[in-house]
Amino acid sequence: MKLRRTMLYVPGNNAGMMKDAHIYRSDSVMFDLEDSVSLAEKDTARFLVYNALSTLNYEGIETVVRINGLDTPFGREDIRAMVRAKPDVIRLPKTETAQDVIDVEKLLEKEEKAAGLEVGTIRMMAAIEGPLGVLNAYEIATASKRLIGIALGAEDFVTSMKTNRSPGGIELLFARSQILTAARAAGIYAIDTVYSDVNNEEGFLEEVKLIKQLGFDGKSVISPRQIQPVHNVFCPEEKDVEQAIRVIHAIKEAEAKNSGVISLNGKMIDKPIVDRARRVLEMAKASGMSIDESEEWDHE
Amino acid sequence: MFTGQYDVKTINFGRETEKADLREFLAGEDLSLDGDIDYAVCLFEGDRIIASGCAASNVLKCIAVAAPYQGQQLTNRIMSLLRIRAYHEGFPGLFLFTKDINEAVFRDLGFFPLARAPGVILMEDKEEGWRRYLEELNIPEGERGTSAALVMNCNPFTLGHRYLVEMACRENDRVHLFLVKENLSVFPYDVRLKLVREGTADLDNLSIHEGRDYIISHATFPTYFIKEKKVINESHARIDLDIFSRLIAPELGIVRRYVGEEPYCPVTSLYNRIMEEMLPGRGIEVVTIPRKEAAGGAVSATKVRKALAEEDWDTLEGWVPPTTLRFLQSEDGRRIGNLIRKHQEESE
Amino acid sequence: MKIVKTGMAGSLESSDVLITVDSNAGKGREIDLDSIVQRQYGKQILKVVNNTLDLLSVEDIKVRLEDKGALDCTIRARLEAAVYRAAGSKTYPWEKLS
Repeated sequence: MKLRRTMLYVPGNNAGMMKDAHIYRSDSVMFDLEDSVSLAEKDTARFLVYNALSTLNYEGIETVVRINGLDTPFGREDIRAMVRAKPDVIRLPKTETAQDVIDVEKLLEKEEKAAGLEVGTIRMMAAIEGPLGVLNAYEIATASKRLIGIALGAEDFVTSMKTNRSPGGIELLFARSQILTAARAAGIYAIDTVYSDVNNEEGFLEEVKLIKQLGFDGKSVISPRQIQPVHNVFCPEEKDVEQAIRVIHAIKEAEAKNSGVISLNGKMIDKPIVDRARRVLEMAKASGMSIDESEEWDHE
Repeated sequence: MFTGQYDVKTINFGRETEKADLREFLAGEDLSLDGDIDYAVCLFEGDRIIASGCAASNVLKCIAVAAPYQGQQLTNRIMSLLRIRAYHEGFPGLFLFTKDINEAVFRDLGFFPLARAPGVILMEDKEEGWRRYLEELNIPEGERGTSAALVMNCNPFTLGHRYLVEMACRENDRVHLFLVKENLSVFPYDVRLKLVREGTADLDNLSIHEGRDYIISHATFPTYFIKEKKVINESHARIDLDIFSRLIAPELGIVRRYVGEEPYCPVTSLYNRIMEEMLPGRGIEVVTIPRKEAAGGAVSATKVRKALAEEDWDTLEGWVPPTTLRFLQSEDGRRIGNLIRKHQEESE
Repeated sequence: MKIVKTGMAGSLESSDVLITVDSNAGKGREIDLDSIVQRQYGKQILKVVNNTLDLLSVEDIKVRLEDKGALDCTIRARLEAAVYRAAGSKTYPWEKLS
């Protein structure tokens, strides 16, 4: 089960950051061709991201590219280039409707065919950054099989909502809940917005705790300094890990007995619990906890 | 860590508050916001400027990083922004004014020293760009050799100019006249050049050249073109004369420079004084010619422009050669007269 | 591709390179390299430049590189961008760029 606790934001025209993006071990890196690149430099950023993705080894870290919207003169060329550079995921900015997703998907399909790639190679992610997108969250989340997740982009959202961001984040409560619920209903990931004051470590930590408690899978981060705090917050507690190990053992036991029903301590275990157990173990391993499932099995 | 943490913003010169913030930042760096600056890009931490880079068309200046933020390569960042912007603006080449102590920093950022004055240095984004300028002047072999030079604006060409050029041509085998290219005068360069050519057609040992970039340009001598400020920057005059005496004159065999006496304009008179101080030591004799007297006192282009605005043709006849008079009386000439009049009315 | 005007791309920031290209009609390739890693990597950088120009079919060109320790893929990216700008071309054959 893929972890997406942190998605490190890398401006698409910054060669130095692109070179080092993977050494901080975020779960994903997101190269940005959109807001961080000035209009006059869209072409150079595209060449830079294209070459970095085609050449550099990001050592298993998921690569994401945020393209420009199809309502700009750059979006189509971004897709043409990026399909050939093959990032894992293309991220759409400012998604308002399911149609926005479908439009990009069509172009992806066309370019994948043209480039001789299997259709569906490149996954998608949609950033929701306005009130309409928030209201359409479920339709967006279910608009394409390629979608791996939806993300909240709060900077534009709060402006459209005639407010601004506050430490407690009360202004984002509905949007976060809606996006999260939509993602869960669609069975995809939910990624929270960036926290732009990199020097406010305490405020950042509070926000990470909040979005983890809400149920988000992770957060976009704009500085390598923000990665470890998120991973720490998402590190499961020992008792959760133990519980997860028990669940996994129960599955293996059921498999060994060829039984269709998985039970633990006399109670039936259904899919969400199995999924959670897998996620907890992934997270525990990623957080550096040492877990040996088979050994535990022998003891029992 | 990630230098992306500072916001990049350009200054809107239409907004006094933004200008004031920049002026204040520059003052803290011992720099001033010159009147010819038309572009500025700054790095901000929150609302505070922490680094700046400015440009007066293709001349970069006022590049500074606040002390606490040094060591993060922010000068490289600012210079990248300025150079890419200049590229998009289509400037063919760049100059850079800075304190002489920064020479090494800007050498690493693609600039080469061009001229020096105490405390300051003018750099260029190509090595020995002035050589290319001289090549482009295309001076035939026969016009090289020991010679004299004049640098003039001729806004427009008067009998005073004619007198000065005639004198130089009489006393020297070859005379090079550099006509200031900068189009900040009310008579456009093409017109000024035409009138000089027509008014000196009989002088066969005179070569007329375009005086761009390296001779009294907004790069070498910005204060010359911001006269309204009446701020006289000695460094600029010294930079301009350093290029002339050290690079241009030796290549062309120039051993004399002719100037008209300048009792009125403080900028020109300071320039002439520095010329007297710098040039003789570098093998160039400075010949100062008193103003040509005519009816109504010494002839000057300023007076000619005033008379043109008033359409005082009788007076003009005594101040300019017939070739210039013909142009002044043409439709184009009268249009310029109207422009001058409007400008005078506005400033009154 | 034919260079018809000046093209510039990149930056002077660490791990990047600022590349300026210009026409050089009938006079082949003229490459002027200024790098902070000239001694160790000068030859390698010139190789990357020449390979990229081969790939783009550029014969006559002046190239100036102000290198601040860029990776090969960055040099390639900046050179491609500068050449496309200098050729005035906005159609990019991504499949042909390696």
